[in-house]
Amino acid sequence: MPTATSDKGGTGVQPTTEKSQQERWDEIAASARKQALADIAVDEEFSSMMDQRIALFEYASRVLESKEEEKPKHLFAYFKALPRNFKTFFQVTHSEYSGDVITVYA
Amino acid sequence: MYDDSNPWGTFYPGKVLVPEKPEKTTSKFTISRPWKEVLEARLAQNKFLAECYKKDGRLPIELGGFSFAFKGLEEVIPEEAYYRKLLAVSIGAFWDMSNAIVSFQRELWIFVQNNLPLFVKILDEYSDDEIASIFYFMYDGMHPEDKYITPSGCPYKTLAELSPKVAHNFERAHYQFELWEPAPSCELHNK
Repeated sequence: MPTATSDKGGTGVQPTTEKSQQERWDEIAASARKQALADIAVDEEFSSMMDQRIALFEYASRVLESKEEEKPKHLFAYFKALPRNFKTFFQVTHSEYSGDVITVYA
Repeated sequence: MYDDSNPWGTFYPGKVLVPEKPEKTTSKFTISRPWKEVLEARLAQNKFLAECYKKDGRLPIELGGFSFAFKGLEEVIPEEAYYRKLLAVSIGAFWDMSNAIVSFQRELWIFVQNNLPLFVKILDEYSDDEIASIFYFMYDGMHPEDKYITPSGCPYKTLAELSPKVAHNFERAHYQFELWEPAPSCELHNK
């Protein structure tokens, strides 16, 4: 197991106790899971399907744009904005859907 | 009506075939003020998005990645909460060719293969018809017969041990497919 050492001798070997990117992400994800348990059952409410679609788009964009530490917060918001029934899921994911009809262009 | 609608479902969107896509269409959906501001800010940042929205009045949904398979989601959301929502959406669902539905169906299969006891535990809380509708959706698609020969695709004996109720509804859903024939590798064949 590598340990941190000073580099007085000028060997050029860097200390290796620093956490890897994966380890850091695992810690962040574990901490976010604890936080999520208390709050996960409540979904975000929207007044229209278009609002929900914009919200999902916005949260997804924030996840992609944010630093690792911020990602769980936005992933959590994204999950809460996801629908909990098939009808809404279908409406949100099909841009051609309108009312009770889906338009198919030949 | 969708050909592949779920026999236990309640949502069946009509389908209208239009010969040619119009030059410009307008969205019939309303956007509330706070989300309109969010959208306008995004449109100002992203020229491609703005072009799409200007032309169609719609957001290109592929950009949003509206999916339960969104990268990092499973790692952050507690497993049971994640799968409870996944299964809730699967009730009465049917397959179509959209990326969202295909990837959603795939997530369900990953769930079954990774954690069958949790899958059965959650399903056991649903009614018979809800369980059958979920199994129907899992096997719905272009080539349902392909899935029967997947070794992990037909864990009947395990299902029956964990919950006879869930196993019974698994059979109900299967018999809906005319193509259904138990493959030799399928455990259901040997029950």
